[in-house]
Amino acid sequence: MSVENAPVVDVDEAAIPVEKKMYYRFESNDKKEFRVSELAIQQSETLNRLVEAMGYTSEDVENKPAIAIENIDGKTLKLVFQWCEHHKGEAIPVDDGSVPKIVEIPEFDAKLMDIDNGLLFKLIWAADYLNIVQLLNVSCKKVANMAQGKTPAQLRRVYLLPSDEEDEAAKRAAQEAQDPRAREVEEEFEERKRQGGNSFF
Amino acid sequence: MFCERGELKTQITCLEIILFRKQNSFSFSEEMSAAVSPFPLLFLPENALRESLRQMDQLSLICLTLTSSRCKDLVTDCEFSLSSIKLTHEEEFNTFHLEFGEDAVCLEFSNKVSASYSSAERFDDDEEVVTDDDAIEIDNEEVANQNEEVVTDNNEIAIDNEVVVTDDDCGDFRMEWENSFSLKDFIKHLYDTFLVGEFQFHLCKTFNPITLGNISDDVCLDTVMIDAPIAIYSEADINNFLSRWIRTGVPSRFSYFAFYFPVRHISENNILEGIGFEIVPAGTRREFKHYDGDTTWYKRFTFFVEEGYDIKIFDQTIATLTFSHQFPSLEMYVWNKQ
Repeated sequence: MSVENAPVVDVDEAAIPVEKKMYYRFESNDKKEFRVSELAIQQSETLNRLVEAMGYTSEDVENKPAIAIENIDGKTLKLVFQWCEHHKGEAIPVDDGSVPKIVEIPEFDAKLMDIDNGLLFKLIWAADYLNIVQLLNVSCKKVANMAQGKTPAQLRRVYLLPSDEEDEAAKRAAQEAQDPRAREVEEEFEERKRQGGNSFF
Repeated sequence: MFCERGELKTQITCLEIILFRKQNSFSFSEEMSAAVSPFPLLFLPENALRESLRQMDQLSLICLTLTSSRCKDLVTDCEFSLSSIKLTHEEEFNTFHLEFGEDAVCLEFSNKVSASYSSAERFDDDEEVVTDDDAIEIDNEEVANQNEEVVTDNNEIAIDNEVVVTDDDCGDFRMEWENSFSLKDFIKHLYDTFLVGEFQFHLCKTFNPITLGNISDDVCLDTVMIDAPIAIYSEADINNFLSRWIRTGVPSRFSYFAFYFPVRHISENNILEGIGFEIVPAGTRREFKHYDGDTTWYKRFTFFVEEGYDIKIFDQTIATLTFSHQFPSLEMYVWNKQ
């Protein structure tokens, strides 16, 4: 039977069952609430497992309190969910272990990450905590790109890298804070050495 | 000409290294020159830190390892490899071109050094000059990688966005080295920090002296190339060189030789006078690999040797001589060095 000859049937569109999209509610540590689609949540392994374990129905989502994400603030979480919504349904990349790892930053992601480094830092922490592989990839790529064309001295400033001396001083300070007596013993030992003593005890 | 270790003698004065990238591989963008707030790399979660390192280009990684012991250890722990390192010395400019993968860097060893180093300052010719000599000592044995445990601080920190880094320097940069940082130190640093598979060392435009004699055990030199465009040799000189090589086999690691005669015609008879040879049978096709290119950047080439004259040295090592008369030249391929 040709397409032209097929019987025409009137369809009541309202009668067709439409699968309702489920939107989960999340709350940041500064009490900002977000509604995120089920498909977008799949980009985050952590959240996906969480909602699966909760087994919420559509009614539960509306009636129960929003799921709290205690260690991410609203500004960062907004970026995270914007990213997840834009990339919902995309396959999660599998790491092939290559070095250097080749990652392209899509235009949307580049615009999303056109933020100050403080927020980028929080975004990476969030991507790591929520286990959003591709968001972590692109955000780390942005961090890696900061090193391009920099001398070691410039890298120190760009990445706030302490020098060996600063590292050593910080280590000593940490040791002192942990065990003041150890420092006293060390100073006493140095003093005895200066005085020519061979044995500490 | 590829020569044996120990044949060439020089001392390289290397108190300071200036780093700049090959122009076509790098240019400063407007974004880079804009003021940016610093990013606390070491405070990233371990996974993200490793990802960031993995996505850096090789030169950035090298520069990062030069910032502090902690960064060096971080990179070392990741066990990254550096693809095919090539180091080319250009005597004319006293520069060393370092290539790895698609990245390239020029290292300039200078006699000049300031009394105190500061970070990323422009090179200033008026600075106090101190000279020091440091012979290259390159070793043959890879240094065991450091496998120290990487400690990362996962505590979130407050970021001061008011601290501004301005990248207004472009062009040549002075890298922040220890005063005693030499070529040897640099090469050893690479071997300490990365997995280095192959290392090529080329000398350009020089018969001067790079001391390869006291090469010790850190780095294996695969090739040394000497390009002497000013020197003038006669057919008799080449004949003399071949005769000596056949008698003594020195240099023993010698593997390829190309000579272009500054005359219109060459006589194969004069060059081969007194030298025993066998004509390579017609239809013979042998593959020979070596490094060649212009005087700055070397690429790997494979030659197919299909004609010429086979000669033997005292230990039965065979070499093939081929002549070209269109552009009078002689090439010599030593087969057991492949």
